[in-house]
Amino acid sequence: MKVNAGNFILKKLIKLMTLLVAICILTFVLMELSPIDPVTAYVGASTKVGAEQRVLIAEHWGLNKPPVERFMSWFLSLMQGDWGTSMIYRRTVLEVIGQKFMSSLALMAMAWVLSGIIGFALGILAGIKEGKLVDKLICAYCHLLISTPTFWLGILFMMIFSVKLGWFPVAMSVPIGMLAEDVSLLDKVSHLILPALTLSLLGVANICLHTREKTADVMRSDFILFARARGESSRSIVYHHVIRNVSLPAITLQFLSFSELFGGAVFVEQVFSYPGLGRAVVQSGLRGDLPLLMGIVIISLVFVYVGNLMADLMYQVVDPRMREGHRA
Amino acid sequence: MNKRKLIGLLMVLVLTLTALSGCGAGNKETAREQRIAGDELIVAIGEEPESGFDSTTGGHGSVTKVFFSTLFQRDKELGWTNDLATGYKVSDDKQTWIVTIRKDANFTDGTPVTAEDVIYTYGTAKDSGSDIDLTIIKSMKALDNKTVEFQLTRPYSPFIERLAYLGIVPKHAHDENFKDHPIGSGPYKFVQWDKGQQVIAVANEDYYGTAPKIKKLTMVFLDTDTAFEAVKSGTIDVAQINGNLAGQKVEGTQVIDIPSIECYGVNFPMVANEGKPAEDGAVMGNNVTSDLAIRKALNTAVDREQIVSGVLNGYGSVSTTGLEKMPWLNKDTVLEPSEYGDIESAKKILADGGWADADQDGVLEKNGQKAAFKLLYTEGVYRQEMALEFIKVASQIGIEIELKKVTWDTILADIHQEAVFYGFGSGDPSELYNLYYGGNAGGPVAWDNSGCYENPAADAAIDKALAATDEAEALPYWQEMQKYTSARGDAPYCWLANANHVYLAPEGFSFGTPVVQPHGGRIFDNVAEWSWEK
Repeated sequence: MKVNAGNFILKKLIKLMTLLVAICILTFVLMELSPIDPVTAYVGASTKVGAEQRVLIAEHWGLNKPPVERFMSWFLSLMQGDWGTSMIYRRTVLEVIGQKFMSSLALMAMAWVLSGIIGFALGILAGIKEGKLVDKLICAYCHLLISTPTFWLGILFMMIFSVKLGWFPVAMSVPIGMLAEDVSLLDKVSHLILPALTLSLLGVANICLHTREKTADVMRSDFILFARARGESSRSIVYHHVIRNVSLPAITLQFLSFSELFGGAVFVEQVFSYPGLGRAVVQSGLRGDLPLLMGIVIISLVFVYVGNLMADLMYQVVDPRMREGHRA
Repeated sequence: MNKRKLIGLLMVLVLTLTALSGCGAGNKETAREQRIAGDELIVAIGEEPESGFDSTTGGHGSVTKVFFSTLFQRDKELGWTNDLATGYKVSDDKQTWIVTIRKDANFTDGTPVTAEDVIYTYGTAKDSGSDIDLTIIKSMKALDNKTVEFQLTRPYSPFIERLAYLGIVPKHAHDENFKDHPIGSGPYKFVQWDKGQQVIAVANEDYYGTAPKIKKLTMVFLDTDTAFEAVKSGTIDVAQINGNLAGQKVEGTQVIDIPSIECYGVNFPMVANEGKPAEDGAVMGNNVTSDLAIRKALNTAVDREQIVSGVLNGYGSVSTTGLEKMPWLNKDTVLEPSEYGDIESAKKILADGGWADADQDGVLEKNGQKAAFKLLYTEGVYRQEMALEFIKVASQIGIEIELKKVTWDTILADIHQEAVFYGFGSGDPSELYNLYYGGNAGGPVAWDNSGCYENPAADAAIDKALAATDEAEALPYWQEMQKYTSARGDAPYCWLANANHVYLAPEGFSFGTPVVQPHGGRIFDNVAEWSWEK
């Protein structure tokens, strides 16, 4: 059993490595093919910087070398742990990512937990009430959510809860004009709630609808019929049979949602001027900051991959049948 | 989970949300009133310098002036005034500039500003590979503690511009951490930077200039719409907005409208298309716009007042030269109001030029060539609307223009063979060299003279202007150049309007008297004058 799990992880690691290399090459090629000229993007459409200085800029950042050489030197230094320097931020890529990723992580974690709990609860409720009004309302709500663009929802929330009602701060992650030492945890949380809520709402629908299907399936099964015949209460049925059977696919889905979470965060951070990785990725793409873009690509790939891996592992741990399957 | 538990859970959630909501709101009026009482201000103006506040590695635009002081600065009428410097002298061969600096200037860490600091700042910036172009400097040396000698590679009269945009940093404190904790000699002292969000500064009590009236200044980085909402909700005080938003009345606020030299206009390809490629391979020339009659007719037909009132909502002014309000304007080249917005005269110009609509399809032609071309424009405030107005007028005189949206990257293939919508106005006369100098056509920087204009007389005037001792001596040459480059001359441009810079601020806030605003803005130049009237 232990050998097996080790093997499994090793295989996954090798897969991750090859995927990383492939994605890096792909990103680099796509950036090379894009019409963005990094020097121009760096300077902006300015007339103040003459041709001579543009050559110097290209030299300074190594942009004058042929693409293959640039990729190789980037790749080799990456292998030695040097992720390069961001042109936009003029600091090492790791420093920029470290900073931004921490605030994104807080946002994503909060949204992830919220969407998981709400989605699961609503899904079970809808499933056991299949066909009834509650179910219909929840389904309609989920379909509405699925077809809602994140940024639009974000703007709507901001207009209602921040501007009209004044419940939450309009933007950013810390109070405006307040010195760092005076900022309390509560301040930070209050800045986090609205973006996190926006982000979580979109995850709700997915979990909820899948959980509902599964719950309804379980509710129709023979063992539920048997349990009812035995005189088990509804509460006991839900607790002992439904949640056990339904939680596995829900947990899997929840971990698989890492990629949507990451994508959604990009939009939400833009709308709420939240200083996370989302804004950095937009900037680095538009302004041809290759080291930073590649760095973010790697981080996001690992992030999503870890999510998927955890979903896989979860199966192995929770459901003994999966382990058997692997052995065979 | 049963129903009761679920409802319980939801209740807890709702309660948490409402409980937490209390902290964000505050009392908006009180918060702003408190700021007014304490001479504090929160603004959403300008973009964040992501690379940090190290003036040697990036053009921060006007934000530089908050923490740093520069040797010279533009005065309110775009002339020159001393800042850190007490004056300059140019040698007879025009290649040596000697700048003296004031004795009472200190950095916020208490050390005096010396010639060494100036040399260090310029040297570091020159080698930083950033968007600061100092290639004109050959060498520098300190003649004494307060005197710096700059050796130039050639005579260059606009050099003073280079002496006005670099904030001087202290050599002894300039290290790895400097960009996150800048030390300057400007009106404000750096306190805190929350990256991606805001910068907090307090008034520098030892500032050699006028003491800033606002004691605590917070600059937040929000996009225009969010900033507008934040002013409405009282979270922040001042925000830069565009003319469209200015139409909305917001109670308790005022719209501050600052004259600008940010000028928009259409540039025409000036040579016929003979398949000649530019340095980057793009084809040069356009057979329609290379005809003077077309360019003159468009200049005559477009009603600039209509653009100012319609597109800019009145927040702007007519421009027919691109140089109104600049000291180097040649007043004789400005078109009178009677000389534009005149469809009939425009039609006559076209008819005299040999353009006629023989096939009756509404588009003129000449020698089998239809009077049709494209107008390329990039994203930006007002640009699309102005371009639409321009092509509407063109269609009224029988010229068919197709509007095409591009980015500064995708424009390059067509930049020399189609008309381009530009916004200019840096407040620096050397921009005229970039715009009109024949030698720039098809060169390495594609938008320098992208229309490939070439007139030996204009080139000669530009050469003389650049090689003059200083800006004052260059003035008549810049003015002479405009005889050729204006709508009265070869009309390589059809200039339309200057867009003012518009701000939303509470009643009682004043910017003092800001400098005439160039493209991109220089609002922080007089930051010490900003105040709350109480």
